[in-house]
Amino acid sequence: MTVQRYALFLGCNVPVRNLGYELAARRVAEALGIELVDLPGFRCCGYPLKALDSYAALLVAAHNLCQAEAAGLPIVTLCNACSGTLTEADLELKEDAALRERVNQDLARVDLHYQGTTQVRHFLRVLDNEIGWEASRGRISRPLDNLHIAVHYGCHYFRPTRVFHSYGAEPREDAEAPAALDRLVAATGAINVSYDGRNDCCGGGLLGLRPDLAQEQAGRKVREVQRRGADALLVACPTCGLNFSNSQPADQELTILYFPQLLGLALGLDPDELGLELNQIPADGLREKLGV
Amino acid sequence: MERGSALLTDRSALNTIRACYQCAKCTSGCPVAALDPGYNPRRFLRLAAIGEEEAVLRDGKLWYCLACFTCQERCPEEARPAEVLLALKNLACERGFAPAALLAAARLVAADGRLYNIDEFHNEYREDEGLPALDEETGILGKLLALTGLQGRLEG
Ligand code: SF4
Ligand code: SF4
Repeated sequence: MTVQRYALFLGCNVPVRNLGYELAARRVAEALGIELVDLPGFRCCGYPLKALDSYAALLVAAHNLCQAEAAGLPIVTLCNACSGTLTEADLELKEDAALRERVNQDLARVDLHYQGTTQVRHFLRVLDNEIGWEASRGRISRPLDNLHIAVHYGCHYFRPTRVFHSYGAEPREDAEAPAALDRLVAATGAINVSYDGRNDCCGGGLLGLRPDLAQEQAGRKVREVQRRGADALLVACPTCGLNFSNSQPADQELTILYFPQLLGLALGLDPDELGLELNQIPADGLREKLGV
Repeated sequence: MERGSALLTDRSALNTIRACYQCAKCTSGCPVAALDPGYNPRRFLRLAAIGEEEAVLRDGKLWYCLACFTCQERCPEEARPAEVLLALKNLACERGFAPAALLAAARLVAADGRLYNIDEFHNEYREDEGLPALDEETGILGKLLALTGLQGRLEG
């Protein structure tokens, strides 16, 4: 089996606030023969600057792309905002020579030069398109048939669809109706719980300005998922995960799982190695159901 | 000064306002409008189209936009409402109307390279959990941001 190598782009949230997600991603990658390389030099993706100054965000994103280019590696991200921002920056810079020239003038001041030789992929897309669920299926040693799982992709996993289409990140052409998490759930043997509004935003973008509205939006989804009888909500983004976790009544908690945690459980990995204890909402009920 | 102009990548989006024929599909699918009836993306586009963008730039609710892009996917015309709102936020920032919370976050990115600083203490915690320590801050993002128009806003 050829080992696939990627530079792991953690961004700001994951390495500080979502250690369980990071831990599970690393263990699952190891189990599937994917090498995740930690590069010094990766910083904020640029997303928090975008609303203030799109060019500043682009420059910061380009700086990160340069780090991966220097290492000769494609980038894999765990966060939807990182994935979206780096993908869009790479696309714009590859397509627009004048913009590239201008960005390179600024990057030269810190001895960097963007060349356009890397690629950006969300870890979920790597599993979905480059590894394939068949590879996982053969290794499932703990089928999750008694679990009911609802999925939430998060906006910047697939919107704006124009960007992911043009970038070639969605060879299956399901940019408008993403299905990677559904394929993952199917591979693990769990039951996929459908619910209304599953492609709706979690509301996380309002956490800084109007946390009350952000939590109201997330709470709506959580209640709908609970009403449908799901054991857990499966997410692909740290901001979605945090917002859903913080928008729940304490007496009726819904487990929030990061997708590598679900896959890791099905692959038979030790639940303690998958960082379940590090999630904001304890996954005790789910572990009980699985007897692990 | 041309360097660092926030609209560099967004000017084309602003031009798409002309394609908007006020069908309101954007607002009817907008999650923020569902939470707060006082928030209306269609109206923002209308005001910008008739030269009243000043009212939009001064409206604090402009910043409620989640950039979820739901409106843009629904728009039946060639307008790009989500990108238009992003460009309008950039303009509002240039004018000094950006919310303090967003500027504070940007200052952290400029100072620490990340929204959440990674220090020795946190790296020890990571290692205890079986995760590698991350590299220390070099100040490179601060140097890059000093080349952009955002720098003045962060100082101001
Ligand atoms: S959906 Fe498009 S055309 Fe309709 S009001 Fe909104 S921006 Fe204008
Ligand atoms: S991008 Fe902004 S205006 Fe458009 S639907 Fe989302 S929150 Fe509403």
